[in-house]
Amino acid sequence: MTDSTDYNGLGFRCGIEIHQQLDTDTKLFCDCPTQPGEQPDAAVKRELRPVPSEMGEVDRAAQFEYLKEKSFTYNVFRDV
Amino acid sequence: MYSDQVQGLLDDAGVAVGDTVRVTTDTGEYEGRLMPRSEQGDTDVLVLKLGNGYNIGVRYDDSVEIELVAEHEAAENAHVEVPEQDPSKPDIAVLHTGGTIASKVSYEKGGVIPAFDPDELFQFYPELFEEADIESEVLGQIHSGDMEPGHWQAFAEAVAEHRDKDGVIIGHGTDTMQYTAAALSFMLENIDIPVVLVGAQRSSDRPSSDSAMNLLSAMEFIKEGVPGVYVCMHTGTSDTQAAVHRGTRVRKMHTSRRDAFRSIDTSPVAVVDYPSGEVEFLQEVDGSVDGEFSLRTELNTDVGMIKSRPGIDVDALDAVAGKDGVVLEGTGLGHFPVNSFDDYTEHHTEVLDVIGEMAEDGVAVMTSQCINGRVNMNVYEYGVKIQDRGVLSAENMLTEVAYVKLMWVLGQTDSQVAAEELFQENVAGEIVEREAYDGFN
Repeated sequence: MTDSTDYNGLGFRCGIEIHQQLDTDTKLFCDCPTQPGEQPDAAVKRELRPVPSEMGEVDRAAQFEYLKEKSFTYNVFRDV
Repeated sequence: MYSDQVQGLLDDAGVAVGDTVRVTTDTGEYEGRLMPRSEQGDTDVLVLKLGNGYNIGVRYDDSVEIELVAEHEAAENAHVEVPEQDPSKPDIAVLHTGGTIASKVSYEKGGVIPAFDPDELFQFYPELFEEADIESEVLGQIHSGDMEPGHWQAFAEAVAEHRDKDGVIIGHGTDTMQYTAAALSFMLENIDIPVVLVGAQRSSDRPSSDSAMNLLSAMEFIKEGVPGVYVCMHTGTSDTQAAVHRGTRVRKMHTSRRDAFRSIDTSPVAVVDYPSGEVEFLQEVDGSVDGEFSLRTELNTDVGMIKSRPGIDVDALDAVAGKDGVVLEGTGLGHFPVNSFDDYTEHHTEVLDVIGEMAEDGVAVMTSQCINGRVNMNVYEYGVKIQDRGVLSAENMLTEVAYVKLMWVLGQTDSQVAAEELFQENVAGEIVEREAYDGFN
């Protein structure tokens, strides 16, 4: 029986993604403020579609998300 | 393309773009698929797609070794089943001229090419095939800012060949889509099917691309069976509605927004709800045409275009004088600086003379920089002076449309008088007879 701490034997894989919020006045690639306001001024609705990659295949995870038929609403804040 | 030096290294190792390779450098060993190098990048840097999907660049120098791991096998297309042709479904031809409606990497060509076989198009837009029988054709892969009038003629001929279909969708770059739309409107006289140009302000290799909605909305409009040439793009920046604009009344009004295209002096012909596909007509249209179809592609491209501006000098006007046709884009109601009354304006009498010669030697027409609204050279005396020299009013034709129309009109007849008459006729809805109070956005 495989030792449950034998990670290699289990073929265990784990990824860690670390996000660090920058304490800046504006976002990195545009002049928008970093803090949202209380009430959005407008909303934009978007549909996302999986597209074949350079290799000609659609990413499985993207396809799975697409089949959930979600749409995405982005809140727009004019200024803060 | 890789540099000659790098290509030599690859040739020696028996390695080609698309092959899986192992590259050994001072910093380590990298295994991946050798990708094409774009012209804009550093051609001494090898691009490898690693197994995890990331692309890396490895700069070639003497210390780099490369060996073949496995040759590229032509990829099997993901197993797709294009729905069978069904006579009850409308027949639609999808023609590609440029922009990125659907694209894929070609190892052979070393770059991105249109993915336009029915199998490939189906992968991108399965809904298209569920509701229509699609025939697809690649007419070109042209950045529309590079298009020339000869391309318009070729596109018109291609559309004419598909007249037996229920409709034609043309994928086109957004930069000059309005010019092509106007050209097709004139060249396809009495076209009896809908011809809809679509584009994308966001590349189709992004999940958020606007291309799908524009394409599918165009298909829904085609099902209504209203003949003519149109442009179909987003109404707003949400993916909820597309607008179908008359091809001679539409202009790209923003560099990047999805709703960049606007009808000028009028409403769009229709709007299409997404994803329901419901079409609502904003104008009264009928399915009838005024006569037999005629393919009239003749053009006279000896036409100039010049914008008035404070500081314009006679040299600038001379550059377009002597041509068979000139579009003058005037200020306000259609004015050029022709009044001379002080030291600064001495040359204005000469400006008027040059304009007068243009109208004698060829057909000179006046549009407005205001974009919206009608030209009227009867209101101010400096407009009257210009009109008295023989410059024609282009009414509320868009400058770009007047330019295309003038090329077309001068191609249809050798007679200046006949050309002037034809220019002033409302051939394809390019003149808005009655501007609605809410036609200004």
